[in-house]
Amino acid sequence: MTSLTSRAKFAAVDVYREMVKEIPQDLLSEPCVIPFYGCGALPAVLDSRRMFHNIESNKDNLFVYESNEVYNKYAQGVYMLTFMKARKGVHDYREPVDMQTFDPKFSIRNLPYQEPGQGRANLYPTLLENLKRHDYEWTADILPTAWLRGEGAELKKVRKMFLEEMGLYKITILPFNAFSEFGANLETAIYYCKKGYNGPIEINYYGSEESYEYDYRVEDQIIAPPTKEEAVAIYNFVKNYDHYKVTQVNSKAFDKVKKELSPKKDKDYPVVTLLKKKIEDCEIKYTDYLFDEDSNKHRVVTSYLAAGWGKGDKHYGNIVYVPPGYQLSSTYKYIVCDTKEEAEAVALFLKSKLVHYLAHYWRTSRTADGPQWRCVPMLDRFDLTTDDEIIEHFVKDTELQERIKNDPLHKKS
Amino acid sequence: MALSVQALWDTDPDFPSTQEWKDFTSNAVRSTDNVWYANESIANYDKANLNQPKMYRWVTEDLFRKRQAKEGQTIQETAAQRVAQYQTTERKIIIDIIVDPVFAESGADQKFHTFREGFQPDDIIWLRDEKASDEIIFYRTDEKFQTSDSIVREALRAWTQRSSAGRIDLDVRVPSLLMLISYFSGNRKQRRALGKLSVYELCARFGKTIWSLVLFELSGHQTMIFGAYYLSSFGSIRNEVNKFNQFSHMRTVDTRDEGWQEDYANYIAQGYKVVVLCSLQATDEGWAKVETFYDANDVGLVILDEVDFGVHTDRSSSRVAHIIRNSEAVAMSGTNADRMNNNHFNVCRFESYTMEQMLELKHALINDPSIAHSTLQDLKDLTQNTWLDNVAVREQLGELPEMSFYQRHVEGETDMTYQKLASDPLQHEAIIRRDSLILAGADEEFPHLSLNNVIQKASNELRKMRKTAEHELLDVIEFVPYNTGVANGAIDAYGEIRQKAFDSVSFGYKVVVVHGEKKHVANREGMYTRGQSVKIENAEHYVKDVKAQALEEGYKGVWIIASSMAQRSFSIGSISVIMLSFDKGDAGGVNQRLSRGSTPFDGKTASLVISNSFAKERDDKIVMTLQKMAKARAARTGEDFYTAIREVKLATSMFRIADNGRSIQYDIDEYLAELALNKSGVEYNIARSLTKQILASDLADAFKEGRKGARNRWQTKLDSTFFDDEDDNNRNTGERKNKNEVSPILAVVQNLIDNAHLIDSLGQPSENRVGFVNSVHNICIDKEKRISFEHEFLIDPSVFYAILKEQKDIELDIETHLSLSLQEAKQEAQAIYTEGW
Repeated sequence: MTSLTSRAKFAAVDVYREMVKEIPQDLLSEPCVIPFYGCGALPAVLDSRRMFHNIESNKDNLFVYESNEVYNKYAQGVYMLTFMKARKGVHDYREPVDMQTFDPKFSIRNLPYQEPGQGRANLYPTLLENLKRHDYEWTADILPTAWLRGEGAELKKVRKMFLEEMGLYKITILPFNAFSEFGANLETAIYYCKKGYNGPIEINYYGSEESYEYDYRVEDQIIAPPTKEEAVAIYNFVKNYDHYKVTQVNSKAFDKVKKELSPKKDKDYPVVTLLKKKIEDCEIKYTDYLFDEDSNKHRVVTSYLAAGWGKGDKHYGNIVYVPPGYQLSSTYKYIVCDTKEEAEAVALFLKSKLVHYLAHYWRTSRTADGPQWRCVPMLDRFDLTTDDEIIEHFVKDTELQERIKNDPLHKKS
Repeated sequence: MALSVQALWDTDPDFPSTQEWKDFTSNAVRSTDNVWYANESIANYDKANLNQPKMYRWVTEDLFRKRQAKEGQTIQETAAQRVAQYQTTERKIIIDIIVDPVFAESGADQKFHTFREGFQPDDIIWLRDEKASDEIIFYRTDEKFQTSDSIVREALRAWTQRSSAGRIDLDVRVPSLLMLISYFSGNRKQRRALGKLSVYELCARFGKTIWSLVLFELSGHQTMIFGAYYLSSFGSIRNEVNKFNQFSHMRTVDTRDEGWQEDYANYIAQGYKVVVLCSLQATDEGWAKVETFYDANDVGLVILDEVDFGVHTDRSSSRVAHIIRNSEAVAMSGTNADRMNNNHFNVCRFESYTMEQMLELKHALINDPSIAHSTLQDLKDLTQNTWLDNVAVREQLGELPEMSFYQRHVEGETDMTYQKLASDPLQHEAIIRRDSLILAGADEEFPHLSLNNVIQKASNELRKMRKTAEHELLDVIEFVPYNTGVANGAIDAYGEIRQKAFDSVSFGYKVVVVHGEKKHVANREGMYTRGQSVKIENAEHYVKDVKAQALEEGYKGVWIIASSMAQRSFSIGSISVIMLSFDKGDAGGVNQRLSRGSTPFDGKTASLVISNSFAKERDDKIVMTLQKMAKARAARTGEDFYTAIREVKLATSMFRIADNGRSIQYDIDEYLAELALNKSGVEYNIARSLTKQILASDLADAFKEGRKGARNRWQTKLDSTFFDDEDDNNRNTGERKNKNEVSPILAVVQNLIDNAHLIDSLGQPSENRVGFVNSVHNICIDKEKRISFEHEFLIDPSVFYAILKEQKDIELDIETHLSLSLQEAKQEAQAIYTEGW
């Protein structure tokens, strides 16, 4: 997590160009507002397209503002050509800005997502709420993909705003690393809206010429893989299958014994304190207390926070079969199985290409909390030993099987 | 081949030259083998006044020893031509020339001597012998002899009744002008902060005497106290006051003289400006007179010289505090001027002029001499003082030796450091010995890395850059890590290994290790006697004494090895190589060390700085010098740091020698690219240094206020430099304690450094760019900017400024970091506007 001021250096010019090139030509010279622009590159890219079409930006058709004068000063030094011409302002994040006299017709935005600091509240629902009061003909926003499928109240609220009020007509999914060079590791997309639109939504991947339309307005959540067929298939896994119940040890119970854990084997209960790829390699400590209610069960265990998220890899992390007799520290999530065979088969399944694929197009958070697993169907056969067998068991369409097997994400991992 | 100054020494095998004679002649310039000038300036003056009536003074070694000077006159020739006609077997050194019409008359010199006998009976005796032409003047004391320039001129003015007699016009050097601009452009609070100190750290060769006198003139005050603990600068003040037309309305009095108060009163009554030379070593009784004088008179300005010697001590400080309380006060020093920031004084500003700045300026003046005139004009515009209308500016800094930098990678174990090497030299004897043999040119594998070869390469590089300077191998000073053990004999062991290696291959250098446990090997009247411990202030003489013995033993020069000593007040002109044998993290103080090569000597035109390193990566010691020079240029020209560093590099030879023996100039683009890749490292280093400074200050709590906006780095493992040595025995406890204290502050500082580009932009004025620290200062003094800063970073910008201004070196790193960041951002911005749609 970076501080908000780091946004001043988010010169993701290619992404901004992608956004700006979508601005309808007839609106280009109309008043545009760029609220909380963060990096001056965003207004500069708009200005660049205007100049290319011999349209001069000025204080009547370009209004940029930020939460603090430090942004304006810096941007003025670096993007002088644009910032000398534009109307500039300073406004609080939560302050509704009166733009009656400016009367913006369109807006391009890369709004801050959260308030400054670690673990702070989401800011963009409030910002969007304030901004949608203006009567824009057209808007484009860069926002996380989390709100497409996230189940939090604020995420749902944002989803509703885009779908029902703002006229969402197109989503361009950006590469996971679009902002990573600036320290922001999360999946984002550009959301294009036009006033009054209510039809199907076009999905497009950044850099790809291909796109498809899907009527997401009839779904609770938006799943946007590269093709429509895949979207249908993933919706099927989400809606029509049972999913694993993923749980964890009561953290308060674990905290009570945490300080007394000892590497000496003279106590009754072994505890997995550091998960490795095999149970034999895990770090084990011992305690006289029994705090893990499921320690007598066969379990498939994974970390709460999977590694690799920062690089765009959304797999479920280290998946390990832990036999009965071991307690777990509260930092791990697990699935309880009836038998060793089942647990080993589930572990293999959760590491398969199919699950990796589903996770990639479904997960919105690095955590291993329940909603993040809701795309993974429960395994009903424990004799599947290869990726191909698993895919062919769950997906009957051969073309789709090939897409899943050959999805570029497997190359990365 | 032209003789070097060594031809003036030890000419009589039965009577070796004294060190005083060697010091006196160390800057001598040859006219003919038998006639020399004391320095370049006198030589030039003589040549420029060929047909002018003049008086000259000269000495031989024998006359010098007896405090006597031969003083005569001539018209139709240079003084050198005239002096050459004297038949002596000894070499003659012309020490002074005074051009004045009174010497057009035949016999004027003898009339003048007669007058002087009556006018200055306490100063001189005219020694006559049988030959009327032998006008020998005997000076009664050493000090009279040292200030004879001044004494002769005072007499000449009295005799001719012309205040301009014997004077020449002043041409001020550009560094002096820049620091005068610094002084007079200070805000009113600084300028009129009576009783508060303006501290000026002015590097060797800056020209503090002229700067002080011009500052006195421009200050508008009638009286200045010039105070010092060691009194060598008093002679310079007296000589300069008497030498220049522009100071003809000034007089000096010395508080050590009888009746100085009366002299002062008389001078003031006659309308003179008076410099009161004030010894801080005075007895209590003598000092009481100074305080009484101060209380009774309007002393507008007090300048304290060499404040790191004696002045900052409690005893002197309490004295000084009394005599500055109603005056503008300036504390000067070559180094460690910050020592005046003790409990006795309130420091209202700290300014410095470094060797890097002077080197940068030297190069800039070669390309554009108009800088000198525009700087003088700037000072005129600033002060509106008409006195400056009669002052010229010197267009070049030719007297400052050129400096080249050689980055030398010492082959060895990959994890070797100089810290390890110096902590136990005997354990690493093989490395030191091999290194010594390589330097001596006795290693078959690396003959191209011999010191002689490196010197040639360095000169070649200068020629390629179209510079006229030449390197030569004279004496060498090698600085080992500052904490190299003295008590355990480590530094001596290091020196012994070098010496054995040198001796084994007849590399004619005597190794002289300098530290406080060494004992003097000779006597020097009034300073030390044989067997006394060497002190910082006389280390230079210790080396000279040892060198004198070494030359007798057949060595050709000295190889000085020092750790903490010899960094200051250590002027051995014959040092032409400065070798930095310490690790990059130990880079502080490099400028003090490299300025040891700037002392003039026998026409020396260049010094070579060798930065030794075991690490293959870039060496901070050279980089820091480069950065400082770039910073100096950026501050002077208003250029961005990136441009400045490129320009500085173009004018400065910084090279390494490849395996094939070819010299390769430091590639600034490569360096900047590397730095760009390591930006996070630079950032962290900055944050770490500032955090340490904050922890040592009373501002820690103020900084913690800003943690809400900072990155969360609580889990960051603190590196070992955050722990006190005392914690070693209880590291775990110390770590927890320290981490709680350090982490919040480190996080806040990190946030500030991450956002340095924003902070910098906020505080920049609309015209020329100022440095980061000044930019933060601008934020502090502008209400709106201050509020913006507080709103975003949650701390008072003043506390950030307070820390930054104490960390001068850090500003360079911040500037580098900022420069890279801005350069990158501007290039990207440019691309936005040029790409089509």
